[in-house]
Formats: sequence, C-alpha cells, structure tokens
Amino acid sequence: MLGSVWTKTLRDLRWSLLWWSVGLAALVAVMAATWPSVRDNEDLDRLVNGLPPALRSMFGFGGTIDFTSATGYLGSRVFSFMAPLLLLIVAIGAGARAIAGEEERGTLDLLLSLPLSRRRLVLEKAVALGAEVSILSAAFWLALWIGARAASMPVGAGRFAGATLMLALLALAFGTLALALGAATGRRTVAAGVAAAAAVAGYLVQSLAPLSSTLDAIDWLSPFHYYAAANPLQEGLQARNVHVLSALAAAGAACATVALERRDLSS
Amino acid sequence: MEPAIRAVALTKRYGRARGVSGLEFDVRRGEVFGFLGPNGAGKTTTIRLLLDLIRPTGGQLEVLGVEPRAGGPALRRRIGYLPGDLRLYESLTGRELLTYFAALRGADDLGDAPELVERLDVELDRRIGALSRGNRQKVGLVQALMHRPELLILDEPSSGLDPLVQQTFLELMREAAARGATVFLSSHALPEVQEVADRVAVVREGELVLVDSVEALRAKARTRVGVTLAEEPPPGAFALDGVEELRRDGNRVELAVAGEPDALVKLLAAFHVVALESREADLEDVFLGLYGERTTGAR
Repeated sequence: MLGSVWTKTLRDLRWSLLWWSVGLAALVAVMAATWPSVRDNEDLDRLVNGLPPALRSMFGFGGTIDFTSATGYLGSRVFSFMAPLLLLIVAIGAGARAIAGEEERGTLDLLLSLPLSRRRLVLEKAVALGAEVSILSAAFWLALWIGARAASMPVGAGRFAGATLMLALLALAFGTLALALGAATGRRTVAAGVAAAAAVAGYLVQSLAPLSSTLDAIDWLSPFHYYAAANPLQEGLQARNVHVLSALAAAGAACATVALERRDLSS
Repeated sequence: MEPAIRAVALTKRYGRARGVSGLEFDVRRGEVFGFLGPNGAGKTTTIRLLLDLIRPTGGQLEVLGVEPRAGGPALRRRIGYLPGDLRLYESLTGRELLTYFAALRGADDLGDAPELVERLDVELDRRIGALSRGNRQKVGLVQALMHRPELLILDEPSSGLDPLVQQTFLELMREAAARGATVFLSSHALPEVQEVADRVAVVREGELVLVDSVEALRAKARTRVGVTLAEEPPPGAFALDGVEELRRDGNRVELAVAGEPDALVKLLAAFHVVALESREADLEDVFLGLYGERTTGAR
C-alpha cells in the first residue's frame, strides 16, 4: 500500500471507507425494510400524488414519485437525495484533502522534493479519489442488490449498477472540482466549501427547475440535471448523461494539474 | 564541471517585503557550503527555489547544471532534502515512511537507511506522531541521505538534535562530502556549521552579505578573553587598539581581541589576575561584527 501516492492515499482512508460503506449499507437496509409497508399503503400513495407538482418534483427522481413500484420508491427515497448527499460528502472531502490537505499539514514540500512531478501527483490523487468513490459505490451496489432480494423488489443487479454508476460519476464531478480548487488555492476549507456550495446550488436548480422558468433555463448547467433527469432504475443508462458527468470529472482533474503546475507552494 | 549550484541575480519577491533579491553565489561540487543568516533572512526561500517548490521572479538558478523547473523529477532524484519545518506523515511509522519514499524514488530497497538508522539510533517502529522532535528530525535525516544523493539540501538540520547525535550528523556530512556529494547546509547559528563547512554565505534581509571560506573568516575572527581580577578594574582600563570590552560583571571582564594579544597581556600584568581564560576565535564574533548587532548570537 506504500508503493505509490494513490495507494498510500487509499490506505490513509481505509477505516473511513469502511465506516462509510457500513453507513451506506445501513441506509439501504432501512429503506428496504420499510418498503413493504410503504408499498401496501394506498393512503400514502394518494397523499403523495395529491401534492402539487412543484413539491413532487423536489422529492422525485426522474421527475416522478411513485411509491408503488420498487424503482420509484428507491429512486425518490434513496437516489434522489440521501445517497448523493452521502457520496458527495465523501468525494468532496477527499478531493479537498488530496492536495490542499498535504499542503496545509506541511507534507507537500517534502513529497514534491522527491522525483515526482506535480502532474503525476495530481493524477495519482485523482486516481485515489476514483478508487475511493468506486469502493463506496461497489459497497452501495452490493447492499442494494442484497436488500432488494431480501425485500423481494423486482429490480435486477444491472439496473442497480447503472444507477450506482450515475451516482459515482456525480460524486466524481464534484470531488474533482474540490480537487482542482484545493490544487489552485492550497486551502482545504475553501476547496470543500466552494465545492459543497456548488453542489447545493446544482441540486436546488435541478429540483426547483419545474417551479421557475428562470431556473428551468439554466437547469442544463447543473450536474444534477444529468444525474436525475432520467431514473436509471426504470429507464436504464442514457449515454449523454454518462458522457457529460464523465467529462466534468475529467475536466476537474485536468484543471487541478494545470492549477498546481503554475503556482508557488505555500510553506 | 559546472558548479553544484549557481545563482545569478536570483530574486524572489512576494507581495510583502519577504523574499530574496539579487543573490549571487556558486556552490562547488563536493564542498560543504554553509548558508547562514538569522531566521527570516531568506534561507528557506532560497532552498525552496532550489527545489522548484517556488519559482524565482528574477535572475537565474542552476542546480546540478539545470534550471530546477526544467530539471523536474530527474533532477530531484539526485537531491536529498530536509525541510526546515519538517512535517512527516504522523500516522506512519518511520519504517513505513522510508519504504514509501524509497518507492516514490523508484528504489528497490532502502539504500543506506539501515546503516543510518543504526548510527543515528532512530526509532523505526513507532508512529511518527508519537516521536519526539529530535527523533522525527532523525527520520527526516535518514530519508534525505538514504539514496546517496549527489546534492544534499538541509534546512536547519541540527534543530532538535541532542549534542551526541549532532556529532554523528557532522560525521555524516563529512562522509558525504568525502564521497563527492555536495552539501548545502542552512543554519541560523554559525557554530553548527563551522566545523564542517568549507565556505559559508551569509544572508540578511534577503540579500547576500558575504561569501567566504571558513578559514578566511576565522582569520578575521577575534579571540574571546575573560579575566577575573582581585579588584574591580577602573572604567576604560582596557581601551587598547583591537580590544573591545564586551561585558563587565564586577571583577570579571569579557573582551574581544583582534590580532595579537600581546598588548593586552602586558597591560594585564599590572593587575592581580585571579583567573584568565581565552576561547578559540569563534566565527560567531565575525558574524556579530558583520551584523553589528546580536542577531545571530541570540540562541
């Protein structure tokens, strides 16, 4: 684990990753356990569908709330808010720590005095971020698959994999934004704060877009638009959405290398 | 062969007053070069320029024949560095840290580390976070030396080391120079480097005040003489050419003597001398003369 920067970074996070995986699994377990009672509760379904469309759009995934189907239920209870919230916290935190954390702790000087280029360092940190998000996503996917079987939800492993992939890409888009901000400023709180603010703004724009023509007009700017526009549990993956979020993540990593290459490191 | 380090009008300005300006010096291959100055004089700024951690705003700099930024990882492979404000990964043990750094240097093994660990008596199997400052500094020294670099850049390497380890450290520097390595040694205190350095440069407020051989400096240095007399001497009793009264405490007087002490000895013959001691010319005194104040002596 100490053979390269990215594996060492993962090693530092081994316990954190374990506990986040447990947390994600617990979320899935709770949702799966409550599913049978929700499914059979017609009052709840009537209540939800009696809500104004504007409110429904805030909680929905793919624009609808449908508690009577497993895909609709998981979409709005898990994928629309809780899962992205948790994964974004991890990804933004890890992205902000990647460069700025080393710089603030004072270990970056020594690290970059070794035969390691700045570009290489950023790329290794980006790979570590990708690996962290992948590990959590895999744990999440596994929990979903097991939970769905236990609760007799008619959703296949493939559909879960597609939805989890979208979740991972969304987390990576914001994680690499935090990485780039940390590489540019050297300050962890700035990087995490700005990236988190961007995520909140993106989420609000996407979820409130149906209420406002202004927001609707800028909805395409929000990464959440590509994440939540279609419910992959119901409709499968859409190539455009995958491409946009992947491109955002790659752009974040590229910006990070340029930003670190150009500046003086703070001591 | 080109010098190990060549600085020409090297300048680094920050927004504020800090930085260095117009530094001109060469460090020859195989020499131990002391880079001296009070804290905040620009020593660390210069060192971070050498390692491409920061970039100059003016002038030229060559390290082992190449500009640091152009040299990149290939250049840094040939350098060993100990930062002044040493921060290591606290959750790792010393052994893990050395393993990590060896891997990042592309080395198959720990190089000279086992021998260095033995000689410096480093605690390798405790978390670095649990080590004392001196023990962390030793881990830092081992990582700087383990790959037998051509150029050693050490920023205040002695800080936190106890006197015994300090001796071992000086031996290591001599050995490094003996096998052809160049050592760039920064310090705020001259006694730390005068034993090993061939030449020293002195910086003050970002500017180079002097570059000279230690021998030449020593020739300029004054001898410290302390005399204790039976009675308190009258004021101005030792007002001779080349003699300066540094301190007086009742019957005891401390003097700095330049050149031959003959006149002073003859003058002292007139007094009842209870005790007399003289200390070998100390470069600290040259320093004090240069600075005109006790900036470096305050330790």
